[in-house]
Amino acid sequence: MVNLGNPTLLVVLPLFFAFLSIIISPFAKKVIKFVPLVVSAINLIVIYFIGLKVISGQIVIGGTAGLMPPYSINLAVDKFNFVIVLLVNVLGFLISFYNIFYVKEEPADKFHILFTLLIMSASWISVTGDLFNVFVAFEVLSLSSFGLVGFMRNSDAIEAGFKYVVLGILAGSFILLGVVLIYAMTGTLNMAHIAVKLQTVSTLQKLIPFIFIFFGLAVEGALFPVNSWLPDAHPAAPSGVSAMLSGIVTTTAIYVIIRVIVTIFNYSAFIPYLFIIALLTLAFGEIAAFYQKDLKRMLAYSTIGQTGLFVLAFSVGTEASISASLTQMINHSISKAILFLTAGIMIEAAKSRNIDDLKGFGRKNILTSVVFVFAALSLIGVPPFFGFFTKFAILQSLLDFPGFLGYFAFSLVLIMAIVEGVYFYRVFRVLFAPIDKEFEKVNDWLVVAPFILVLILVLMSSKPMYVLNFTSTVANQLVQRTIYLTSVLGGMK
Amino acid sequence: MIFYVSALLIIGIGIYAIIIKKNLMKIIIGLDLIETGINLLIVSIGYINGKTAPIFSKGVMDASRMVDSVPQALTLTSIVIGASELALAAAFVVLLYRKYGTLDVRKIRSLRW
Amino acid sequence: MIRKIVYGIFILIIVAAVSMFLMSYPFGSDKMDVGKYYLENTVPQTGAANVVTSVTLFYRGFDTLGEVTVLFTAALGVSIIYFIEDKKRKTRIVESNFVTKVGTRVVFPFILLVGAYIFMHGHLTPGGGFQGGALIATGFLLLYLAYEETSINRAKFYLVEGLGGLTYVTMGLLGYFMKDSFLANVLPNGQLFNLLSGGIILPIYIGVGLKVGSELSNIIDDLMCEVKCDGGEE
Repeated sequence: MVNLGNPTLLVVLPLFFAFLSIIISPFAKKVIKFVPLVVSAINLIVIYFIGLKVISGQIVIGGTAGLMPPYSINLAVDKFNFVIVLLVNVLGFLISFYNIFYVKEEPADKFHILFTLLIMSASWISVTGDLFNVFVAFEVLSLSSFGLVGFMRNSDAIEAGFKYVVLGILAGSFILLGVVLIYAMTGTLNMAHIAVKLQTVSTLQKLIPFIFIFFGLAVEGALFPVNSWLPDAHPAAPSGVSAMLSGIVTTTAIYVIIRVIVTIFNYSAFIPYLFIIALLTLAFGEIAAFYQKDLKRMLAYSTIGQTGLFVLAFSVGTEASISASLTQMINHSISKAILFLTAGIMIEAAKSRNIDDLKGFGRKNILTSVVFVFAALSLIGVPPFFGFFTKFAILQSLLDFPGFLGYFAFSLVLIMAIVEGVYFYRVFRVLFAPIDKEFEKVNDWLVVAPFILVLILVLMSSKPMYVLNFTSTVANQLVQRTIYLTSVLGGMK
Repeated sequence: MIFYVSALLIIGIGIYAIIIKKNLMKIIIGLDLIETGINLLIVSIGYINGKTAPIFSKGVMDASRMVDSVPQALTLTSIVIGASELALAAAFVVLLYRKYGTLDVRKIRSLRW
Repeated sequence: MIRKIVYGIFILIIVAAVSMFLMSYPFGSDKMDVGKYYLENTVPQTGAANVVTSVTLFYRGFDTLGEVTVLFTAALGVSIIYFIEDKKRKTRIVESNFVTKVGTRVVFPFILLVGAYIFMHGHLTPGGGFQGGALIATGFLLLYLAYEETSINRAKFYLVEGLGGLTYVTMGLLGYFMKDSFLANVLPNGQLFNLLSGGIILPIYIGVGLKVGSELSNIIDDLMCEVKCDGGEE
């Protein structure tokens, strides 16, 4: 019986299907629509088998080339990875279903193949255990999102795409520079092996490679000051792609930053600076979102603000704060995906991205608008939705940060929650205002995906303590690096 | 030593080109320069004094007289990735030229940074 | 002017930081750790003479799979961005001169041959799939430059591209099913310095070489349509 619980299958099987679909693409264009759906379904089956072992506390290792790490590349899944890769594939599955009905422009078959590669590379970067592999997976992620952002080929998409391309290539080069400097320092590229070797190196010497890797990942991860591409690129992409980019790609980049800080570098000296960067990101994102008149641009700025929020929570440094940050990541990914998917439906119906042109949409399409409202309320943190429990946990952990900054951050988060409430309320009011124009008919199947996601959100809102307890075990395992190191390097002489 | 200095110089010139230059093609050439500088840096990190290329042949069969082979493999990967990124960037530039008729960053509406 | 000075200082800081870091790891010093293991164990474990190839394709084969994917993604992205609904040939074609035409006819098969030689001997001499594939694409570029009416059959090139990628993934999956580890060495190592040696390296490099050649030719075909097709200039 072949072992189905190996993380390498998460990368290899989607690639197999992608190569197969390019062969059949000149003949059977209609079939390729279903490829991302099939691929993420298979991934979910593999994740199920991995999950059986991870839940019991084991770290699942997939080696390559028949050799033990560090002499070969390995993939390692612990509880933190597991949550991220599960999020990637669940969202990928539902968004692929949405895309089957949404994408109508040519060349649609290439869109679906690129979307498969986006799901594959997001899964890959979440499970890898080797630093150069992170660079390669990051490049696949960037390149597939470049192609997807420029898909509509209108002036908006091309300008935003070009800005994104230049910053994205720069980010990749910086990551490569950092990885190479680490290789000069330690002679190896395996994450666990580097962690062991870096224990004897001084903080100042570790700083320079770390800064390069951090800034390279921060470009994709929406942190201040390198996120200027995001408010142009995420709205210009088709809505399914925006949901994937805002909901998942940003979160995986932040996951890699967390993995680099906690497991490889063990860099508690950098945490206060991360705190300040996160504060600036939160403030910049939410305040800019307040002034937006374009729906998708407003949601993109909100992504920046929310990313600042959960990085702020992480940078307090205690175990409770890491667990709160992870829960907020889950809440944001699901809610933001729902918001972008329903925004896509609304924009299809109103043929405009301006908020004022959506007047009265809610009176005719009640289901879509209710889904939008539920997701927005969860994002803001209104009880009894899941977002309330995550924000409460974050606020509680912020009080643990020493000194004046802790109280300042606490009040800033509360003020920004109010700002979020105001700009989402503006959208609600427009949605349920009296109708004054005709809306186009949109495909009824489009609302299925956001509806299922909202059901998941409601399910989590009814059992919040269950999720919070699970994330605290995740944070517990993350902080104890030695478990990870000994599991991966167990076979070394 | 000269290799480190020249690699860093090339990277510096590339960053300068991206930030200061106003022509879109020059920005892409700046990106290419950064990639080239980093590749040169990778290969020169792998060099060990007095040793030779890591290929076994009838004359060289001793593994302890060879240079590090891992940076050379990393450079191979990096060159290919760099070339494909630049192809995609050039595609965007061509489409921008089609729509606006100019390659000047200042004239294209939302690209001011 | 102020902006230039500020940016100049910024660049200087980056360069100074990296050079300060590199002072502690001087040029030419021995920094190997896993490198030593690879140098000593290449011949027993894979039978390839080129250590860089065995590191690229065997020990770090997963990275090379990612690299192949990067090329694939970039080719897809370029074909999306250059997509024109109906491509019409221009009526006015610039003829290239006589020397180019005849010279290309003579040289083209040799370019393909040298490219194939390079990717087939990847485990013996410096080279490999990517270099050989790039040469093959150069041959097609020459064909485009010399004869304006050239138009490659995209469907066949997609077939070659996909088959090359499938070869790579299938060889890896063979290792997975037989030895429970992706890309394990399942073919015999053979005699050192023979052409048919090196375990799984030879089939994979043949697949990669053909894939890269057809992929880059597809990109060239897209770029050439910019000049030749009627929808190319709006």
